[in-house]
Amino acid sequence: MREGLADDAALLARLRTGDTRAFEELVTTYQHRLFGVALRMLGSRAEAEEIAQETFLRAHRALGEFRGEARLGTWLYAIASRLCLNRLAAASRRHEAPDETALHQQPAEGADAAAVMEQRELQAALHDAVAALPEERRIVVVLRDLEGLAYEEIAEVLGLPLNTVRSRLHRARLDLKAKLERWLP
Amino acid sequence: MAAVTCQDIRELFSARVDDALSADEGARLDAHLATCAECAREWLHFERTVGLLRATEPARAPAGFVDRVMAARPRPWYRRLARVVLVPWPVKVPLEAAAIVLVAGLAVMVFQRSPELQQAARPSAPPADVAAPARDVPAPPPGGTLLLHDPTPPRPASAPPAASAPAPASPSEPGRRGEAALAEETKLRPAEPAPADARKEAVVESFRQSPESRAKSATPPDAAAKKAAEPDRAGPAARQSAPAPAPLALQKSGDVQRLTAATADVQARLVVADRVAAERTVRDLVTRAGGQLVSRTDDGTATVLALAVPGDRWDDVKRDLENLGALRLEGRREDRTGLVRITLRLER
Repeated sequence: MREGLADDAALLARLRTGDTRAFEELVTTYQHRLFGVALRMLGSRAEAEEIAQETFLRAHRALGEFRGEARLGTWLYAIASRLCLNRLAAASRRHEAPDETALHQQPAEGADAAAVMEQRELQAALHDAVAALPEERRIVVVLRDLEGLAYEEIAEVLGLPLNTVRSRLHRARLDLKAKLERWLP
Repeated sequence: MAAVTCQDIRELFSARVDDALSADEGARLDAHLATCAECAREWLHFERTVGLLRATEPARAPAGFVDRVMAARPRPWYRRLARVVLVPWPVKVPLEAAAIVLVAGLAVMVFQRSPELQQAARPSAPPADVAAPARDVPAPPPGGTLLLHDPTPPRPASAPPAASAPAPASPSEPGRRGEAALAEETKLRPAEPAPADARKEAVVESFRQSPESRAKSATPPDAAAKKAAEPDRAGPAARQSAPAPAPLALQKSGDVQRLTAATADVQARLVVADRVAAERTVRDLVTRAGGQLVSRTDDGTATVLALAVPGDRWDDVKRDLENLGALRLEGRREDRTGLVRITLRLER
């Protein structure tokens, strides 16, 4: 993750005093990452915003219980991941149409129309492939390849043994490769 | 060594992508890819797939997201409280009642913490009954005191008055006044100032003394603290036969609470996930800081611990408590000498 431990400690100390600005700083710092995880897991921007907001509110309530053993970011990812998985597991989940923009790639600069079209199709295929992954594999690949968490952090976030994380990540990547085969050279 | 299969090699792809292969594994993978076209193609596709994922543009939360979270955030407790208490105005009547209760409580606390006031009140008290405190409270119930009394079965109210000496004019006068239940104690300790007031003062004094001075002084105050820490274990018989009079005074949890609340420098409230674990940790850290647990009560929803900690270690203890959960403190102790007395309420 991108924040240092010293930054975390300083921010946490301010959060514990009830510093409103500190909490705003926390939300500003992590909003896009948590929203991103929720978006890739749920496929809906509305649901992703709901989950990201709930993550921050739960963190706000539980700040007193956070002992600072994990990094703030790890803790927030853990809350968000749990909320996403719970939402996916809930039978009452609203079946909203996934947003086509859930995964975006930057088109290469100077690409011609055909290349842009192909790029868009590839994006759609990638989006579909990620969305089709089993949830327990999807969350691992999202945290690793889209959010850049280390294996150890993912294990901590999801409460899984390191080997399980490795195994699920590898299976997820193989699944994706199989689905994207026709787009690969 | 068993032959390396293509399947074995492909299991290393993820680790290679994440630079997590050992040198041996890396060499094995490279050697195989150099000779196996199928695996080499698989590796290229695998690497390209992960590359596509990682090239994905990071998602961005919608505009105004931070503001919406801040608006949805619950208000601080003091603002909610202010809102409940002050708005609407008709609710101010309970506020006045609360103010009266607060002032009355403060008056009692000031009285209890002022030896001069207590001394002044003593001569006007009824002299005979040693179980009743010599206070200027009108018609105190027998055995019922403001703070402390022995919760053993009622003693005969008709203790021979001849055996009871008048109320001592000075603290140096031995308490040999004749209440039947205390007679045995006074036999055991003829020089001990046995009246309930004296017992209460001994315990209160144990809060005021530093650990060092307590260690130097006679054992009853320490014994009182230890006894009070386990109020439920001693049955009436044990209490009656207890050698020191001070512990007897702290065996009723209500009394303990009143005493500790009245004498504490700091009122603390700690919200924790696990009360039992937190209590164990609190005991450990207080012991490590050279302090001690004076009493403990538990009403099912909260555990109240009366603690005494050396003043120069209080900041350390406070810091440790903050690490256990949400800590709220009332009252301050600026003096870094002597003991800091804390009433700590542990809640889930």
